[in-house]
Amino acid sequence: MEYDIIGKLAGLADSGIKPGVKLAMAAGFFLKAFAFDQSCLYIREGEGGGFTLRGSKGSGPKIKAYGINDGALRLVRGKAQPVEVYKAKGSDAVWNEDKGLKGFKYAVICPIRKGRELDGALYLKALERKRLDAKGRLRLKNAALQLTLLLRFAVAIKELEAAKEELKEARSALKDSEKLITLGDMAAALAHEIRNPLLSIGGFTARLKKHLGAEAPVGQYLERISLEVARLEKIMDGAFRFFKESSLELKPDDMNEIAGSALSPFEDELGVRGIELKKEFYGRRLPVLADREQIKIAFDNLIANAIQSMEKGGVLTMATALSGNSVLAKVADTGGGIDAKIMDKIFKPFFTTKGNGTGLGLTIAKTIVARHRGSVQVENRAGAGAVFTISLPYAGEKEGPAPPA
Amino acid sequence: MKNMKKRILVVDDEEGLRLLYKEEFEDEGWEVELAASGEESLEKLENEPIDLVLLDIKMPGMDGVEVLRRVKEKWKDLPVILCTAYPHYKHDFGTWASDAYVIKSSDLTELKQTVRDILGKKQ
Repeated sequence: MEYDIIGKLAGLADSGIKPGVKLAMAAGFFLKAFAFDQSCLYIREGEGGGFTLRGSKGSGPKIKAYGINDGALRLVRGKAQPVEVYKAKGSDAVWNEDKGLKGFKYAVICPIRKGRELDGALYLKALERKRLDAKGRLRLKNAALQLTLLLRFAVAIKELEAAKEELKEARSALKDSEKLITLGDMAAALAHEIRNPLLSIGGFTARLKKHLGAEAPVGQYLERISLEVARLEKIMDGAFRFFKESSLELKPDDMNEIAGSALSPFEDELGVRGIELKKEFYGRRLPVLADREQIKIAFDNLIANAIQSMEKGGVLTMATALSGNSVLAKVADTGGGIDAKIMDKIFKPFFTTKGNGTGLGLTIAKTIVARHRGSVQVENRAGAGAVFTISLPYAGEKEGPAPPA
Repeated sequence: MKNMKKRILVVDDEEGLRLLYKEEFEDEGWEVELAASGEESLEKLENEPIDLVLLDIKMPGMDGVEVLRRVKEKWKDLPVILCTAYPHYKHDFGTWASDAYVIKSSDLTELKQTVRDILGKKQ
């Protein structure tokens, strides 16, 4: 039974074997099928490039690469059929020039074509002079065709793999860039685009009001426009003030001092609104690494919320504490607490229960604290009030929280 | 002396705002010149008597900080009000040479007051 090289090659094309291994195996099949001593498969690398040895079987000299006009390979340029080469038969020039044929006496070079282009070539070399009969030549020609198909298949798979890999990389790059586009970047970019037109609208509305007079029938419409513009501007300010890529300047600080300095601008207002202030500060320094201005902004928002929740007066408690490795600062109000239905929304941007709120206060507080590797927790005492707790990593000595005073 | 109205140069790339400032400041009794870019503002300053520059910072081409630098180099005593939507420029050294720094708002009260403070009482 004759060695079924066509079947072998077809099976190889359809297998899951790695392309590089496939070529070496194919070279081996040819060696066995046509009883040669060495088989070398050269594949063209890219458009107009040379030919590189990609698979071989058998012993003897092997050339790693051929140029398009090198050695016996040039004999198959423009040919569809395998070309036979003998030593000492007038083709000596080619034979001697092709170092890959040294020590052999006979060779067949099969072109592997893609249309008019030469895609590669298969060298089959024998130590003894031999001759393929007509049947053998036909078989070789068909096997070479089958090899061409195998190569194209391999190339297609390789391209598919590369495309897949590219897609994977593109996907992961996209994911990274998505991470970079934070809420802050978006808010800042949006604010940037909207700000100037908004100023125009507001400014010209004011001019219209001035020209028409306060009593004009459309006065109330203009007033509404002005109010809405002012509200939008407020939101833009919020976005600007906190979300711009201002870097944190972390410095050793004391949570008691930060909380105290955040509270002091509100003390007059508390008195006016009939809100009692209770300070329950930890008795020792509470070392944290913080950007004081930023943490103060977080406090600002929490304190302002607390005050607004107590329209009829109440008690604002500001407390600091040390708990394990966390420094805590609590802002508690007696404003009736937060409706359980909206608890999961309160930190979301632009969520507000106030008619003129921006919905950014708690988002900002949380973002700032998170950038300090801390957290903001809310504890709701239904009917009584809410407690917001800022927690920052303790930044003092490991052994004991309090250095001797 | 009646014709000695003080003259403000408004530099802003936003057309709507230029128009708004022009009308508002003319109502205030100032003369107003407009420039849509940093380059144009320097050209105007070379050719016309200007008493105060109202300067936007973020503009395509030459930005306000650069204009401010050049203005202060050449006309040391010419007052410049930086006017921008971006509070963070306040920390930019380049803006410190300005005589005032006003955050843009559709409410022009603060800006008008700043101009009055610098140019003296309305004439």
